[in-house]
Amino acid sequence: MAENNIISIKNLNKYFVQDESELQVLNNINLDIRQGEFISIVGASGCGKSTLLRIIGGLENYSDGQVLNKGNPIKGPSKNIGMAFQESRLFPWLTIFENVAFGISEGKKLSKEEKSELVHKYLKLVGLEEFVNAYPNQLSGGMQQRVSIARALIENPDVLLLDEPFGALDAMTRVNMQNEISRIWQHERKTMILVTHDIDEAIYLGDKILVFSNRPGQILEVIDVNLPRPRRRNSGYFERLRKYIYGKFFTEEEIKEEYNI
Amino acid sequence: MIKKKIRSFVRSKSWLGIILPVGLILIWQLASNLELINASLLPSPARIWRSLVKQAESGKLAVNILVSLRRVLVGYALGASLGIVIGIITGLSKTATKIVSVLFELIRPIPIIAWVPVLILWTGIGETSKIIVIMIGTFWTVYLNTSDGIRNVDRKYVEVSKIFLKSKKIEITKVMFPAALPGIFTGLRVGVGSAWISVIGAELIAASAGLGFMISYYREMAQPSTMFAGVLVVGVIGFLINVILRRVEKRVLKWNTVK
Repeated sequence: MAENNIISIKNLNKYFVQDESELQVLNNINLDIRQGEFISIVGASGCGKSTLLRIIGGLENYSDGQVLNKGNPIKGPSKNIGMAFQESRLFPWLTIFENVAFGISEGKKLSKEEKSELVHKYLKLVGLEEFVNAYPNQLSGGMQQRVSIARALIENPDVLLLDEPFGALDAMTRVNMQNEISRIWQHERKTMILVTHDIDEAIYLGDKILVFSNRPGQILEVIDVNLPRPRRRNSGYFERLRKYIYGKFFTEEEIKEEYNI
Repeated sequence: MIKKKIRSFVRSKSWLGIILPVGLILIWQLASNLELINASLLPSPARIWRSLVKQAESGKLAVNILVSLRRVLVGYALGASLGIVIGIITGLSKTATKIVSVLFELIRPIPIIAWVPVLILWTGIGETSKIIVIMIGTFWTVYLNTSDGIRNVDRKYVEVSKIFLKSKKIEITKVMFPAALPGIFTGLRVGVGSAWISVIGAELIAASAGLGFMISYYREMAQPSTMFAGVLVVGVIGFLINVILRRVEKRVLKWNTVK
């Protein structure tokens, strides 16, 4: 039953029209996501995985098929679905406080105290309470990204979409951010959908991994990750899963060369 | 505190800018003393300074400065406001841009000074003609920079506004306007320069007070040193206005520079 699923996608196709010729970006996507699940989507760049996420976020329309949120078709951005992008997209002219408060619904009439309490609650969740009065460009890239996650969560959406949110960060910060997201997910029990090209990241965070083909993007395989949390990146299962997914993108030779450490 | 300021001034190499004007004045004075320059065409710096002091002591200088500044203030405020409003509208709407495009491109190349006789014909020699000239002078730079600034706002910011379901009003006031503000400020800064040029130009042609009037009056009176004193004051005030506006810009756009 689709109504049990927080997100339900049926026979979704998406074409870009380019100088009168059609370019297929997504090919027959079928997907059901349950409340509280963590879904990782991996694929090469340009495979349409970000487009799928933007369709779920209501930022992009689709050519045919169905995309439902709790049984209702998605026609545009919604309060139920929050989103964080590859760039933090914080407004440099607003303080951290004001940036997070930007996520609060316009119709909501909160007193100054209630607003402040709410902003502080979510800044605390991402561990940045003491930076309320700073400006975004006084913060590191990883910190900015955490603020953008606080902003996306402040209206308490059911679903959080993460569009390669750590792609622009250095390797160390990236691992820290993955731990952070894992902690927030366990704390808030939100449905999260993460688009990434980092296979380790997909395994570390996902309950399910969707492996995307090259354009036109379609789901090659859905892999259930049966690993207890918090996950160890060097366990044998993790290793085997990593190798298996690499095998979907590269031939055996390329894997050996790159991964004989 | 003062020591620190002096040290940072020395280190910033700002003082390098003072060498040329000071050197030029020294050479100019020297050449005047040696009578290499015809004093009725170009009086010596010391002579100009004495005339300036005399004008200041008589109170005439203050009156002329205030008259010019008041005109600039009113004309600039009107022209800049109009430029920002129309700039935002055309920046947001391609249709609006198309509607005004031909008219604006026809009017814009007309030099500001060419408007002076036209406006005197229409509104007389009083304040109105001068203020409208300054308005026109200010309007173009502010308008063009605002319009460009709004048009070039990063779509990624607008998308954030969309994802949080913000109204068009919030999208424009809280996202697009601040994003365009660095560009708008460039327009405001360049605009104040053209406002100052416009007022002096208008006063040179027809006025009974103001710095432009002072310059043309003392040329007719064959008092070149007082005339040059007027030119000097025009330059210094233009310089100061730019300094003040840079300060304001730095404060308002603090977020644009903090690292």
